[in-house]
Amino acid sequence: MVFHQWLDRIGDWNPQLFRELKGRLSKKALGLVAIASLFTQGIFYLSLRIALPSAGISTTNHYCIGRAPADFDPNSHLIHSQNFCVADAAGNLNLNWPLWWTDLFITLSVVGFFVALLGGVYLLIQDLGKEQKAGTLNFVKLSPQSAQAIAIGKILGVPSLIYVGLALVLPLHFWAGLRGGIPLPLILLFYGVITASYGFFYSGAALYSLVNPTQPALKAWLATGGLFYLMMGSTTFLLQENSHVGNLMDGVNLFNPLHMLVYLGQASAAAEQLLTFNYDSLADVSFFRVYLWENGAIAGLIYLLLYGMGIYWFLQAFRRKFHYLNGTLLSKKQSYGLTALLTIFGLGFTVQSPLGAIADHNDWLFNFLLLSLAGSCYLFTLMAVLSPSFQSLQDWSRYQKGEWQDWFFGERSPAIGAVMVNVAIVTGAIALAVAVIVAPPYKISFALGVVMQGLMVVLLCVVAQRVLLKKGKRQGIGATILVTSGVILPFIFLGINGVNPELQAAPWFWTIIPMVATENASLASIFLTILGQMGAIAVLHWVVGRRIQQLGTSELKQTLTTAG
Amino acid sequence: MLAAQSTSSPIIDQMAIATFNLTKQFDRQVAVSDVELQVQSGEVYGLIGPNGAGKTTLIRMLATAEEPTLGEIYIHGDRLLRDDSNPHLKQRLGYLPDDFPLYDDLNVWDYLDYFARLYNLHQPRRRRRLSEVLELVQLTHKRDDKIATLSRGMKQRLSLARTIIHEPLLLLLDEPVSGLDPIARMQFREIIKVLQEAGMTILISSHVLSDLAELCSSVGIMELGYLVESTSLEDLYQRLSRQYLVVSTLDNLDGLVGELKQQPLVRSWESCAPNRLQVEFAGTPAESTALLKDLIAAGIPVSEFYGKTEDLESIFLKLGHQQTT
Repeated sequence: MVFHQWLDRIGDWNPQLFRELKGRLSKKALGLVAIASLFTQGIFYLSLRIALPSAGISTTNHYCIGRAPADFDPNSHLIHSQNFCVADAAGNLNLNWPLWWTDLFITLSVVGFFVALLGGVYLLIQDLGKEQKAGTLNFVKLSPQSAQAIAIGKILGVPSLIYVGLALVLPLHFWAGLRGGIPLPLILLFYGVITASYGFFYSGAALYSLVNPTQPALKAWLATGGLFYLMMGSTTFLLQENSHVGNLMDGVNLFNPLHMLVYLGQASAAAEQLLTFNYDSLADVSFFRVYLWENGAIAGLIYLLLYGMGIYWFLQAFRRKFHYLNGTLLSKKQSYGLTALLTIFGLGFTVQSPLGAIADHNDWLFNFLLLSLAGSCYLFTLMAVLSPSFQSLQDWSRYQKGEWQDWFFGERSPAIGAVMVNVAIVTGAIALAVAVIVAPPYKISFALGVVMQGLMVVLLCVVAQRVLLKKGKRQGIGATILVTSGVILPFIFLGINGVNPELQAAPWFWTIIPMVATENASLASIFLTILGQMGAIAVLHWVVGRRIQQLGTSELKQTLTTAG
Repeated sequence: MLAAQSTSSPIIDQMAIATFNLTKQFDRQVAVSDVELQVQSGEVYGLIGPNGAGKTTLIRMLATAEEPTLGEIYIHGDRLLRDDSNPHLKQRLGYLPDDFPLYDDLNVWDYLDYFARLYNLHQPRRRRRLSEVLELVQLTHKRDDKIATLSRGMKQRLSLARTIIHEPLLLLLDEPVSGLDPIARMQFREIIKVLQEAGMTILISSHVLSDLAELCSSVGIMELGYLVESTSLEDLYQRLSRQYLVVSTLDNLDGLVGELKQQPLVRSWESCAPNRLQVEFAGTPAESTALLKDLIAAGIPVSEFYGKTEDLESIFLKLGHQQTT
């Protein structure tokens, strides 16, 4: 009865959540989840209990806190992480209980995080894909509910059984944290960060499910598998002693909320003895040389900000895709904002102090090379994201073409104009940062290399644009193959022929990383290449313009032309 | 021109539906071309036309399920857009497409309850409204049954219940009786009449023209994406429907035909049964009475004599359209 009243009240707030809970929270399902959750935590609890030493049997153990006995040979030493077990007068061993509880806390955190992350992402993609395919979501779209309300209902409702399972682990988890000596505010902040990270990944999953909604089961497996490898890699990296690399990868790595466990472990009563999440090299991470990750509380707040911004962008795109399934994920105007934001994000982590023993220009150049390469990949993705359907392009060329602003702000216009602006934002910012930060002998040549790279991105995108203007259903795949070939094939060709960028710079100028060859090239050859690239872009753009003109002509004119 | 119309003009305000230049193009195919449709409040507007004429696309655009290539749609004077910037407009719309996917895991009551909540119906009105629509679509006895167990007709009625749960001002029905047996069709017709009496504006597309003739106050004919005719049913009959007299005789038809040839107001005749003629007669009802007197006076054994108006299907065919029935 109470449950129904509670459900009814939820339904008034969010009907979609009501529908999801109504379909999922059956007594049978709840019972099964409760058994699975209690059983799993029981397994982890017992497996850690078994690791405890037994009085009279164990002489050394990770959880013991005794001193070395008098007869211990001072020349020998214990293996790593082991301590001597000494019993008190009553025969009980002195144990490091805070360490044991902290270990339990960390174990449950990692397992719980992965189960909920992967399970939730899988269920959301599968559920939304199924609804799209069946057509049931269409009626929901026609209702006066906002897209955000539906997304929130789905995100909170579809993985509801997973939430129930987590809620049942929470008491033991919370208790383990407190017994481990982790400060209460930090535990609560950790819960906040983990919740925000679910919001981030789940809203991303909801958006992903709306993009090209075919074969929902396959899509769900692909996304879950990809995310698993990504998060496992990132978590393994966090466990390393030198998890701080001083470039963009630091920023990418920070999307793993398990990073917070480093602060929680350090704040626990057993910080020194912890075997996992015990390195504090992430404290060296800086953003525009401001050390923001020295303190757990500040790091937590940054996480909340980061995930909050991510959720905002995902929901913005979800809103567009929800109502216009054939529309683009972002508007052209939105893309400029996102690009600026991501460029600032990437630059912030790139301009950290160079690391390691060889703190010279090489680190800088590598860091900027990494950033500009990531930027190029982002820009190619943006080309796909901003490209309207062929139908929209056709409609635009026929009915709306005219104003020049439309190339940069129009909803149905080709993506290429907006991509050029985005390339200018990324390239301009990186080239400027290079010019300010990198040492004088390299700054000009490298900055020019960045400009050439930007032009290469535009060149490949214009080619892709021409392919997208061809009639047919699989032009997106064709454009992707073409761009990928344009990026990879030059390297294979130059590699096979052994073309050294230091000796023969010119061919490298036409790859996606021309900056590796600019250092040894003359300024004249660089400028000539830039002119050549701009000329090629102009010619291809003219070809694109002609194709658009052709698309816009009436059937009659086309028929007459063909007949003629 | 559009800009001038888009400012709230009195014509737009009075109309339940007003479209301007409404066009939808799929690839090179123009599905709906430059349609200027105007439907008054409280009307039942029938949309007819052959398959592929653009009826479904037009209705989908009116329901915000499809984005127009060009043109504007106004519902009760407000501009209709597809995003979630106009929830109050969506609150006024009810749309029943020709296919009706449902949630098989829910029962009838929970399904309607879910949609009532999506349309912001709160208690106690929600419960009352659910009972009302279930009664209207005659599914009260099925309220606790899983949707998966319902028959096609029941599912169609449940879909209609979902469409009207929020008491929309404008109801868009696309082929609502396709695939239904005659009894289910009749039940559906009765429901539409009740909704019409409740004051809803209804736009309905159907191939069953006899149904439309019974329900509609106006009709629009679509062909090749164009709205080639849009008028009241009364006007359509007046302009295009001919009056017929059906005359049967107990004797053979020769005597009857011989007598009809003498009558100046008789234009033509054709046999529609062994002893029956369909007579095109240009006179008034009083003159047709005089004709009957003449026939009897001439000794023709008249067994049947009544006036008949050409039906919607005949008019439609006469206009040069072909309708699948």
